[in-house]
Amino acid sequence: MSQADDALTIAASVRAGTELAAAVLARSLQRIRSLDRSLRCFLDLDEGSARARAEAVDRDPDRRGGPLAGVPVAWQDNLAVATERLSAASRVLEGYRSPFSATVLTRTAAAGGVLLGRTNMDEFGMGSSTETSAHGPTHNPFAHDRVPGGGNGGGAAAVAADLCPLAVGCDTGGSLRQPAALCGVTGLKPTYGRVSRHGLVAVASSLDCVGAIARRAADLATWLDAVAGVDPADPTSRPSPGPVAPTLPQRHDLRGLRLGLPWQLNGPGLDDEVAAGTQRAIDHLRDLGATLRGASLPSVVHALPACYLLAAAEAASNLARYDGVRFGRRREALGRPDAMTSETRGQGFGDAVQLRLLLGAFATATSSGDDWYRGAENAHHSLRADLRRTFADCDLLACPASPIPAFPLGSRRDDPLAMFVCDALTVPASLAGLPAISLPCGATAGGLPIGLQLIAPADREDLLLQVAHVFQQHSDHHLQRPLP
Amino acid sequence: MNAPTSIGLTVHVQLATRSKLFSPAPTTDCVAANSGLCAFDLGLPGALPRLNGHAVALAVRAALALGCELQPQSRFVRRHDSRPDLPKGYLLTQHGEPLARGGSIPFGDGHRCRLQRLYLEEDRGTLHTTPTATLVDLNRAGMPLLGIVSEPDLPGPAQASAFLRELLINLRAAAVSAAGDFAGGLRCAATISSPAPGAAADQTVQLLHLSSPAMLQQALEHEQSRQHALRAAGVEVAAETRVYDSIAGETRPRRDCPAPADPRYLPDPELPPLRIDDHMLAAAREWLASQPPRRGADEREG
Repeated sequence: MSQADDALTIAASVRAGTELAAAVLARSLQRIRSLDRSLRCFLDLDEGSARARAEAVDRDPDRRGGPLAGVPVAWQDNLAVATERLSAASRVLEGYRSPFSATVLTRTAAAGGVLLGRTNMDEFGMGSSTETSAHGPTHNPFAHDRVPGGGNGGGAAAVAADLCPLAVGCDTGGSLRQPAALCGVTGLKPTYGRVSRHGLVAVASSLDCVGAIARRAADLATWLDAVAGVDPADPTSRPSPGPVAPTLPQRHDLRGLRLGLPWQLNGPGLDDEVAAGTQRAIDHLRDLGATLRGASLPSVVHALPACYLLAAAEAASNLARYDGVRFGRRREALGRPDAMTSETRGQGFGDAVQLRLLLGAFATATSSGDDWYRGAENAHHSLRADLRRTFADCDLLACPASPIPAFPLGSRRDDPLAMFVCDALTVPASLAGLPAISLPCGATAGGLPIGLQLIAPADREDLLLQVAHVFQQHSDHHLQRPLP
Repeated sequence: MNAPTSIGLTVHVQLATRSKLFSPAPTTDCVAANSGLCAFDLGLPGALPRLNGHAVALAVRAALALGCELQPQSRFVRRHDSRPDLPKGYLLTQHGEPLARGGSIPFGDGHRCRLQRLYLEEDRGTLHTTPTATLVDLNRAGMPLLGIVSEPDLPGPAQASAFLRELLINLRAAAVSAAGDFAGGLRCAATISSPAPGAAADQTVQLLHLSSPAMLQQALEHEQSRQHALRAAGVEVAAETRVYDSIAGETRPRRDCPAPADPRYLPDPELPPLRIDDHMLAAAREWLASQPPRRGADEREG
């Protein structure tokens, strides 16, 4: 793909009739054929179905005129597309095909998007490196011996390598922002409830947010407008406060913007190059007119364990349905039906998933008392209070999206604690249900991307994306490509 | 000398809705097993619950008809158990924050039994065990149930049975449930306690799977005489759960079904808290006010 092949440029040329969706898709498929054998972003890509979907856009005047006309869209393997495979990168769902589609993908397609294929992820999103996938890891396009981040490492790497301009996925504790940071692309987690979760494999329902990864913030604004809003099929979905993309041209600089810098997220435990790269980006935002303010989120130290515990508790409940009785891969066992269920689950779930299921079941067991779950809920409430206070005199918060750049494959795989500090900077926005974005903001001396994270108050995706858009119009970090 | 007996009931009736509590699947009796199911009834990945507004409206009407106090906010929780007839691995019910609390029902000659809570709950599927396999039928999974728990105010089997009859008449008069008109629409569990004076240990016995007022009365009578016989022999009654065998005419410890797992109650994160709006409340009041006055007790059918 050429440098200009971002989502909005493609959509404009397909709308103008200068290019067919089928031709755009063919370029995507060509890139995938030549690069994905070594990157492993896509899972069992079905080129025929993707071509049929592109041709359907070319035949349909409404979709051909849509805001995402002809844009090839990858979807994370935890989002359902009718009749396509859906596995959440787990053996337990081997062979399963969903009879219905996720609302977010139906809306993406209605806006003209061409559903391309599903991307690799950590099993049920549990991990920060895409190494827990039952299909094997995805490789970082900037350094093939390093991880792309996770859960949605496949989608982030696919956009980074220009295999497709847009990847839809789920951010539970950083699963879009952290891989976006490690792969040098832009990742958006909207406000909880702004995008329907219908058709998303539920893991931690009160944290799961459907979002996307793209080259530029402007692409994400257009996508968000196409998919956000109430869905009768998701009772937690909420009305959208209004379209975001039309507000982007309104802002040319950052004068008047109060940018808060919570010290707890901007110093301790950061890699030196990440700290320096983020600081340069924050200085750049100041040069564009933003006022920098010190901020403090004292309760943020509890956010990571609280988020981890709540996620595990909800996961243990949400994953109880994978028992081999109705769908997925069944392991037969003689004797009582529960023997079959324990065989199916024991063989079907990987270690990272089993670890969290045990933790979640323990935390919610009556014999464990209320302390664990209650403690996590308390941490949740104090974090929300801290954030409310901070947003009284800040418009946005800034910090790195990941404390470290992409790390070597295998280096943290067997150390759950080392893996889970990868999410330390992304979980606060998840726990509080706030919108947040990760923007490329430079690279280490070794050429590994660094991501800046911006966090906004609930429903302020407009402000979040405006600021990100201004930054990207005055910088070229997001245009950096891995060396061929 | 017999100590005073106190009996409390937990009653489940099916609400008269066209579709299930959280899915658009029909509630009409499906002839074929596992027919007419929706994605949510099967627990398919990505399917979310959609609360049936008609079921809520009927439950609100029932709460008003029984004089219960509607709570400003109620909440659904997940009760976990690993069983093939529970497609999601949990049952959605209301536990700590029910739809309504309080109320009482007068029955018989000047008796009155207080109600503790009234709540919405989904039903589970059914299991059929053959010599070679356990078969699962999910047609009942997700059927809308109304749960009513009484205080242990009932002094004996006859009064318990009279109270249950009165409760069912009330629910039928409010047209919220056809329970009692056909088999399977009513499920009742009873707790019976008649501690000997000075007994320290809890001696409450729970009886499960009682499907009619007559069966309730027989089961309680058999259980009461079993307990009298034990006490007469100087044996303490153990707190336990028992089932009633109407053919043998006895209660016995629950053996065939395993003890329930730790419910690990978890607030359901997929359903927002339920608040009853004024419109629904007004509609329920209006409906009840439009009904002709109740017939006298002597005219009631049994």
